Amino acid sequence: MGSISLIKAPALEQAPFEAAGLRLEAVEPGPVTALMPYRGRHAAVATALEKSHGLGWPEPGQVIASGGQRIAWSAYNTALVIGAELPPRLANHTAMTPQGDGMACLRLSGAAWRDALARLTPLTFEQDAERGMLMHVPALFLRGDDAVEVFVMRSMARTAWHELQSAMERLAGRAAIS
Amino acid sequence: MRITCPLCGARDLREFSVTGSAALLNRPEEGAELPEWDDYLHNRDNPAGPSDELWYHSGGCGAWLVVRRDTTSHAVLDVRLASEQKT
Ligand SMILES: [Zn+2]
Repeated sequence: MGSISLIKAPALEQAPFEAAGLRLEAVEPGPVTALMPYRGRHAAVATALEKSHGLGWPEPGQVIASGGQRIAWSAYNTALVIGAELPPRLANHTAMTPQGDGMACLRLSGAAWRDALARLTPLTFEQDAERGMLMHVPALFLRGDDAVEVFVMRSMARTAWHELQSAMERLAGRAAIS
Repeated sequence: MRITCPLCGARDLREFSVTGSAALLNRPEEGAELPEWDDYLHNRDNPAGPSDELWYHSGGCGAWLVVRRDTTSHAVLDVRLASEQKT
């Protein structure tokens, strides 16, 4: 399945923004495909992904990575395959929806990324993949060691950017007066 | 009030929206008589105490949940995935 592109411009054209020891940037995660396995087919999907990509089917909150390819739990009965092309025959076991340009990915890096997000969401990031609200923007958060990736719908990408940039500026402002 | 989503963990009330009685899960069989449909669509108990309701985790995983809530105290007694609930 090839990647689908219906839109000329990327969702975010902002240059990377740095403040408070943090860096915010738009990243291109590669092809993103949402999988929703048919009833009772999760094991078959897991086996097929294991064979083709060294992946599997993630439990809620889990991310399975192999090389540069990942599968991340993303919602009820749903996971996103990120950075991998999938064999069409996988459609025997699961609905497959290429996200194309419909999803934007923002990466916030720096040791204090949790401090910035604490201003925007009540999540405490105890799991590798969590769904929640970034202020009023629905988001999927994939946590790393010193960074978090925030996946949002393309239509809300600039709002998400604005929220994150504002939180970084306020963190820097707070640091400057204390 | 917090609801412990089986997939997402304990989350604030504001991430959810409520639809009403979980009686909606007990859809009449095909060919059921009109009074049965009338009951299903319109008639609800109004318990003071434990009550099963359908909640949607719109600000999280998007799952429909059956939340057992005490209507006199708002205590959440039990939360399950509606898809796994056989009533
Ligand atoms: Zn949930």
